[in-house]
Amino acid sequence: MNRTNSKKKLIGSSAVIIAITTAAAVFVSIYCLLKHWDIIFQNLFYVPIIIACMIYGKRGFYFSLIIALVYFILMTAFNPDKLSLIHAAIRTVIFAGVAGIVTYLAVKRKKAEDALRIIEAQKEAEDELLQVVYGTPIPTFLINKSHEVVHWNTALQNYSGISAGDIVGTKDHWKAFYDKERPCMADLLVEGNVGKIPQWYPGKYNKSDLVDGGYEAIDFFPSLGKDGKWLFITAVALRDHLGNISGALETLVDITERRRAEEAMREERENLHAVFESSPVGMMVLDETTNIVMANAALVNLAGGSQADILQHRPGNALRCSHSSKDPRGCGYSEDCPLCDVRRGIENLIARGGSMHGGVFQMELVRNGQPRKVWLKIGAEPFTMNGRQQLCVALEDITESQNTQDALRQSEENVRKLNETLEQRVQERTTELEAATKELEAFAYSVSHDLRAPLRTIDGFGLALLEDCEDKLDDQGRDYLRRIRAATQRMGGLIDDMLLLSRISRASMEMEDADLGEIAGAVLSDLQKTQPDRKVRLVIAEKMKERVDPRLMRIALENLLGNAWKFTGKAKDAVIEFGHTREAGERVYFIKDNGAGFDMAYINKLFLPFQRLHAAEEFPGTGIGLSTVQRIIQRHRGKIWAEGKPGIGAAFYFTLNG
Amino acid sequence: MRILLVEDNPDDIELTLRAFRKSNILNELIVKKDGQEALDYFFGQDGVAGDKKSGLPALVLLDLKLPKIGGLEVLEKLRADERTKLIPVVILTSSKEQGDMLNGYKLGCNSYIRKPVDFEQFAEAVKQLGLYWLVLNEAPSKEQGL
Repeated sequence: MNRTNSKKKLIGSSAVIIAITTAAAVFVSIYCLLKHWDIIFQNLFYVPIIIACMIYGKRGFYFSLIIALVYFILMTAFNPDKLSLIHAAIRTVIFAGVAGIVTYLAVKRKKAEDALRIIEAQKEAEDELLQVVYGTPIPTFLINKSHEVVHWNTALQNYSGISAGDIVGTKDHWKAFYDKERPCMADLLVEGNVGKIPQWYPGKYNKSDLVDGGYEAIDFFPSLGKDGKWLFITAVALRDHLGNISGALETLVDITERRRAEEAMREERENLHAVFESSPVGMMVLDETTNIVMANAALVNLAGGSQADILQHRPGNALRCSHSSKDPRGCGYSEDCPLCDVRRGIENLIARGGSMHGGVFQMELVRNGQPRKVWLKIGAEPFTMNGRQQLCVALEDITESQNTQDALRQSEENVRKLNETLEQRVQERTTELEAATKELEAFAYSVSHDLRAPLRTIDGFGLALLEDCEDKLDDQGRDYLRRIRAATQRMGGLIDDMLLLSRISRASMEMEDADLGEIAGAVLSDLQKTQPDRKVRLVIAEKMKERVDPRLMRIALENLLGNAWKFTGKAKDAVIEFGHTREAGERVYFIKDNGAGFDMAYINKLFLPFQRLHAAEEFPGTGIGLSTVQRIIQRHRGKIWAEGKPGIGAAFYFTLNG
Repeated sequence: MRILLVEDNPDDIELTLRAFRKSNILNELIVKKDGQEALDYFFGQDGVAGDKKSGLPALVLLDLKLPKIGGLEVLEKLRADERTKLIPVVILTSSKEQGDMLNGYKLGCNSYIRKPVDFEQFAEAVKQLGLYWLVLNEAPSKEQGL
């Protein structure tokens, strides 16, 4: 500013001097011409001519030519003689020659001064630039035209670990970034060979928007740092005052963190997208204006069209029900489905815009040309993507599970009905059974009273006859009467045994811990009392404790031991053995005797009521005993079976509490 | 001392009488053929329950299965009345049903005798009965002569 101001002043004052000198020269010339002092005035014109040419250069020269012309005119005007004209012409030429020489020198000097000034200014600018370069936190270096490093700033020293002292003046700047020698962006720009950039930065560069003539590139440097670095490179060619490339500046910004974060975000987005796409649940993403912007494969599959179809529809009509074929606008527009639950469900969800379940609805979709009823569970979840509020609407096809549930409910219902029927049937059967039992009880009661009474009469009066009218009867008559009485008593026995059998089947069980050996001992001792003369060897095992109904068990043992007692009646050295053994891990009791035995051919009749294997004369009995025993064993959840051989003996085996 | 036999079966009446005879039990035997008659005998217009002169029977032999009013009901009524409550009652019956026996004892019968088909057994039982209830349980009287 100061410089231009002073220049203006200088030029202003120069103009005044030129004007004064010129005026003086013209005035003196005219005065001398009028006085005819030709010799004096002529040299005055040199002063303005020299001053003008020195100060104004070319313009001063043109001014000088005008003054020279003025001089010539003045001379010719005042001295029109030939000689004067020749003198004036010569002098005018000399004026022009002096003006030309002075102008040339002045211009040359001025040019040299200007050049110096520009160099100074450039140097100043360069200093400022270097201050900036060294002060910036961005790693930066400068190379000159011959690719030698000129500057290597502090940030780059710290970043690369290479000091400026080691690298300035060399062409080794590539070593900071690469394993093998190759040009950096700055090198390419220094050569002015922009065409080579794509070769070295394929697909990674672009022209800078910010720096004129600059280039940018983003590249990965695997040899930098632990896992490599991402750098944002900006390079620009530097030109001298003549516009020639003098060097290049390159800045390197570490964008690894940003890049990694971006990559992580991109990966996350891709993953999310993959999840979105691969989800079996139909999903669509709505933008702020609730237009569908994304629809996943499951939804496309559900809707049955293409993704583009879905994107054209309003969310409520994304799925087109079977009626929608009648109206291209989609579900709900056809008269057949003015109120579609699914559509309404979706619309309600969107209207509320929150995170919620919209319920389960049924609609009829067309799949492969076939209408198909589907159950859809609808939900929505708002989220933010790229700073924009979006809504993800999910439509889950739960038809199968719904059908399964329906089937389950149906089968549960069936089971419940079956149970009810069963209960009813059980109730009916129980009632029937109760009635039958009551009948049986009444029958048994009747039998025990009414059937016995006539027998008693027969027997009683038979005896009365025998006793009171003995003398009137002969031996035959008395024999007949005895037979009658024996038969009635036998029938009485039969009735009693039958009643016992029926009572055993009906009686409730009263379980106690009892020793079977003790019961057997008591039974055998009673038997011994009935026939005190008989000698029978009894072998009873010890420790035969069982949880049984002792009353019923005694009846069973009475029968079994009674049989053994009875059938050994004719045996020599009779032996009755009550013991136990083990078969297939189960305790098996046995009662063996060496009595009459039985033929195994009739084994299947052994436990049937009223079946006898021996003649009544030989061994008396009603044939009900073993049936009773079997019933008692069965009521103890046991089994009974027998082995026998005529003349050798019999063995009865039974288990309990199986 | 009288014995009251409540029995509807004439055969059984006859046989019981014969058993008493054979056992030399010579007490007066009053027979009533159903529950109603038996109750009338005690609580009727000329019932023995109110008659101090004729007096109560020393023993009641009661069949359970009776026309009109059953034996158990008769027993219940006898036990419910202060005047007859202490009379020994022996149930004589064909029934071997446990329910009958239990009910009989519950209602306060003194003994329970099952009439067997074999009359000899019955005669023996009657004999024992007479011995116990008429001789051992009560002070013997002159007429009784065993």
